[in-house]
Amino acid sequence: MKKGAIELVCINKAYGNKEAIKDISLSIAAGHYCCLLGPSGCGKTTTLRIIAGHETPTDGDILLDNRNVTGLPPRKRGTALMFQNYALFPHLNCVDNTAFSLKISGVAKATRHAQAIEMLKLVNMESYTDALPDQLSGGQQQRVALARALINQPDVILLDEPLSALDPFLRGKMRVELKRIQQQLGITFVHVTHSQEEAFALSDQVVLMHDGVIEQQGTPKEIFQQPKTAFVAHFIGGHNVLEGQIHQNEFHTGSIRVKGLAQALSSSPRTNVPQQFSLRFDRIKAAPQPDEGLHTQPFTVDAVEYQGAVIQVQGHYQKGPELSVYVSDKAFFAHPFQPGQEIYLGWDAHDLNPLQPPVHS
Amino acid sequence: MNTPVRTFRSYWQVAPLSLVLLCFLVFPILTIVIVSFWDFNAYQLLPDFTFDNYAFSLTSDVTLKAYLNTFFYAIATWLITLILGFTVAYYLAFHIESNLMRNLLFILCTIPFLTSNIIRMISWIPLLGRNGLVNGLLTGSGMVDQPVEWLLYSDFSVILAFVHLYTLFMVVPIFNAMTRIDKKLIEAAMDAGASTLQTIFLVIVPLCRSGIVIGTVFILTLVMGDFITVRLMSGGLSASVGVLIYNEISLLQYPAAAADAVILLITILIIFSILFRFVDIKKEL
Repeated sequence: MKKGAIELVCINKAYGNKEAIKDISLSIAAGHYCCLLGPSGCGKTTTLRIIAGHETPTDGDILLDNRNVTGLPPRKRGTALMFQNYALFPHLNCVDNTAFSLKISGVAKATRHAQAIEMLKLVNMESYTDALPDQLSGGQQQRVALARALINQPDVILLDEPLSALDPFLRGKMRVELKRIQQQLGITFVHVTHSQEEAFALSDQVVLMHDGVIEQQGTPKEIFQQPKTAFVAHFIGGHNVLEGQIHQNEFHTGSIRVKGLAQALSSSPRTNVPQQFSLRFDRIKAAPQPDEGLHTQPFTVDAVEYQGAVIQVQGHYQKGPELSVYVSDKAFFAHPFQPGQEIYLGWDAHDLNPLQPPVHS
Repeated sequence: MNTPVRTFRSYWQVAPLSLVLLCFLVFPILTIVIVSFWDFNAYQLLPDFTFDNYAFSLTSDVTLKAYLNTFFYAIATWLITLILGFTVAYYLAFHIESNLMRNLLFILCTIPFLTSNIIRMISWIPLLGRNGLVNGLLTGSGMVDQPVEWLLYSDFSVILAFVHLYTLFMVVPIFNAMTRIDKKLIEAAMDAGASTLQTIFLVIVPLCRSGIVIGTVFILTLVMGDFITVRLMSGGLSASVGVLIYNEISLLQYPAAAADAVILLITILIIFSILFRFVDIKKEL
């Protein structure tokens, strides 16, 4: 059986009067790659540090493999934390850094060095055994930090923004590496990040946090296809948020009316109350002329941004809403549009994803 | 192409300091070295080139005793100030959360320096003397029958005064080195299961090695070059190398004093050259 199942039960953490984490409950299955995602100050790092045992929750319990570890020091939990800026000991070379915890537990020098070299091999750093951290690049330091975290064969590895200090090219490479090591070892990884791209690329489970609460959790696909709140839709990007009201199977937002809602929605929507929907940029069709399936109102283009595979077009209807649209580069360059030009948009009622009101006001 | 001019100009920038050092450091030391080879009699200096002063000093039992005494004072003071300095610096750097509080406490450490060294030493006398406060308390409470003699005018009082005078010179560099240690390293050590003591000896001490070495340099220089503390606090009963030189000067035996000064200088330089093998001082400053 895989080890490293994490369960947080009603965790609260307050610093003075400020609540950093409000009543979080979360379970992470053994051997899963979980990303805690959110903007800075959302409580994701605090949550990680609570799992690691570097912060004590004001209230609540932490269970690892059904063992309550709330009061235990970090080393007794079977977790290992990889720090944001790696926190390698500057006076120790790679081998001694990696073997530090073995030295603490009194393992003989030859044995611990052999094990450390084994770990450095796993992260492809075996040729830098004698180098001091100062002599290594960011990516290399990170590999050593990972080796140091892995050497005790923890059930859970906790990573605090592990890729944020690397340049984009290296970040992509290390991302693949992290996933490879996680799958090779089959242990639980909990990874804190503010990049949805990183979270989506790595995770089995994404936990999106905002203001000390979990806004939504699920697989990357679930979150991207059905964001639960306007915050989630904005944060993960690629989604318009439409605000309006529902009148008899029609959704009214600004000058636009979307028909055929009842068929599109599984639960029957409340009428005559404000309602939000999210709509993906890439699910909107755009054409220079009015056509069947397009809204008859003209849409004024405000900005055109070239993004390679797609062109992002921003604009607005005269009485709202403002929308962003992805147009494939092929379609765009067949009929390019300029800012100021009027075009016509259309989308399927099925592509409207109903949003819940914010988790907290 | 204007490099020679620029190099020449840049010399002006270092000229003032060079001049000061030349006049007040290099010149006096050269004078001392020269005088140490002179001869003397009861009332005058005789320019000469003789090794007699060195020969006398290096073979004399008095010199040996004075050196042993000086080393004893230096090592004892070093050890005590190191433990005190490390503890105080550790408390300031790692236990005080607020910066304001840390700075206030740090200023508090410097308060003894607001009075002169001599006053601070003399103020120990009414405290430690035979009829002083401490003995009054001890005899009054019946803990001892006779006043304790070794409190004043003893090695104890000399080392006590040194510690009192110089602990700050150990606190400052160690504190300085400690504040540069990333707090995350301490957490990383904890994460690896290290106890507080293991963290101190495996992480903190190696990382403030430079501070410890600089503090050591201060303490050794101050203690080994001192004569007034030893004279005052030992009541003239013990002699350090400084006292020895001072006595020779008061007897107008300048060449002998100069020779002893040169020997002391060389001794200290040898100690420092060994110390600096352990730390790259330029990297740390």
